[in-house]
Amino acid sequence: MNPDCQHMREMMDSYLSEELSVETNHGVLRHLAACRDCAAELKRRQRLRALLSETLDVAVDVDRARARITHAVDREQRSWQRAGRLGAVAATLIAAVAAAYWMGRPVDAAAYDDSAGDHVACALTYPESTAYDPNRAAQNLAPPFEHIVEAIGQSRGAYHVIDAHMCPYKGRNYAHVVIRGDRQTLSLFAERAERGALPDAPTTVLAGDTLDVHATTRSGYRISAVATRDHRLFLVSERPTDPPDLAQDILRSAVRFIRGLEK
Amino acid sequence: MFGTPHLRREEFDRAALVHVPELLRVASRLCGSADAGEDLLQETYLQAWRSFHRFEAGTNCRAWLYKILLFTYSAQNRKRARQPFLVDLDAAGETALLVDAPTPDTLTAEAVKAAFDRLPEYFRALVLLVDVEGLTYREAAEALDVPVGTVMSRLSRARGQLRLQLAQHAPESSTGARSGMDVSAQGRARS
Repeated sequence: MNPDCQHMREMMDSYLSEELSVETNHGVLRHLAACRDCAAELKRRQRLRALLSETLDVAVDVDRARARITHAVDREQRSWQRAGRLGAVAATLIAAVAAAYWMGRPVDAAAYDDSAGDHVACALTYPESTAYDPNRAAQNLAPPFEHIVEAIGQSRGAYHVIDAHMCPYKGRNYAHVVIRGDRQTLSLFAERAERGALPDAPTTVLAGDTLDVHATTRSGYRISAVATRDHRLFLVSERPTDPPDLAQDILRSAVRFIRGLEK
Repeated sequence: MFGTPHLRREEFDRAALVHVPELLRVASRLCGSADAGEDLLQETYLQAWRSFHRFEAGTNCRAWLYKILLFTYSAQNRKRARQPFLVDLDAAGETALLVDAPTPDTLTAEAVKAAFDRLPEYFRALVLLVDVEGLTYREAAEALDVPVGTVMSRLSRARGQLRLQLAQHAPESSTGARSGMDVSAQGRARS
């Protein structure tokens, strides 16, 4: 195959996707008019795309799907509204009752899976270009977590906070700090300990602190969890490996912040 | 902020629900059945609703929903396979073809489906988004959260693998002869 044809084959699919510049497009058309082999290959690739579309076709019921989605979102919205109506005082009372009830501490079996799920649903959807906006964070955080970013620091070495907000995920109410660095995204979640004890997981001691870290891997994500007296913290790493020292520093700072809230 | 998202319900319905037909088709194609596609789409929209307080009005809601759909799909697969999607992605990224296989003369729907199913998950998603659904390279890059150049290079490899799969499983008379290529002599060394 001569170099012109080789070059043409490399551009052929971008030509079919209408992704070439006008000038390059004209060059393709000129070559196709003069080269029967490439013109034939183009037709075969067009046929391949048509067959792909045809063979992957699945009969769907759009109305049913839309009704399911609307129903599911309605249900979730109602649960938020009910929670909102309770108000801060009622929530505190419930927390106290729950804390008393959980003296025997049932296990929160979903603790790790929910952290990984919220990390995927929320932190990983931020565009690459997202930069931290303190006004946006102040608006989207709620007491007692409104100063969590200042506590852990906006930047630590290669890691930078890109956003912080409250995350109402599956009925939980996390303070969620999204951190980027070292070519990965981290999530730091803080929530009140109202759902029971952390499930058993291999336990390591957080260097420089007296707290145990429950470390486990869920859905390919490494999760380091710490339970304080009234709160729980989760650090979710995008890679299924132990977070590096800097990430542990972030977790350690967050623990100190949470302990300050509990004094 | 907690309690704020429900104030944006009308905005969510207006911006996001309009994309249900297109995303349902993609979800069903990814999952291989309408029922599984509906389940995936419902979870995608629930997660979109939970994160809608972060969505900036005026930005590309379709690409944002695609991004959540693909993450939800890959997270579900990770749960099933106990394997990170990103590992697949990296392995797929390292796989390249030294020989650009020609498309066979004789194509059947069965052969095309079989070749598509043999592609790595990440490549299947790329080919589906761009070559079947017609997303632009830029839209696919937004959905997959990678640079446009990465989409182009991975798409080139995905298409090359698809043609190679078809050529390897096509009747001998239908491919390779005219170009003089030995499609069985694939190379996988280039990174």
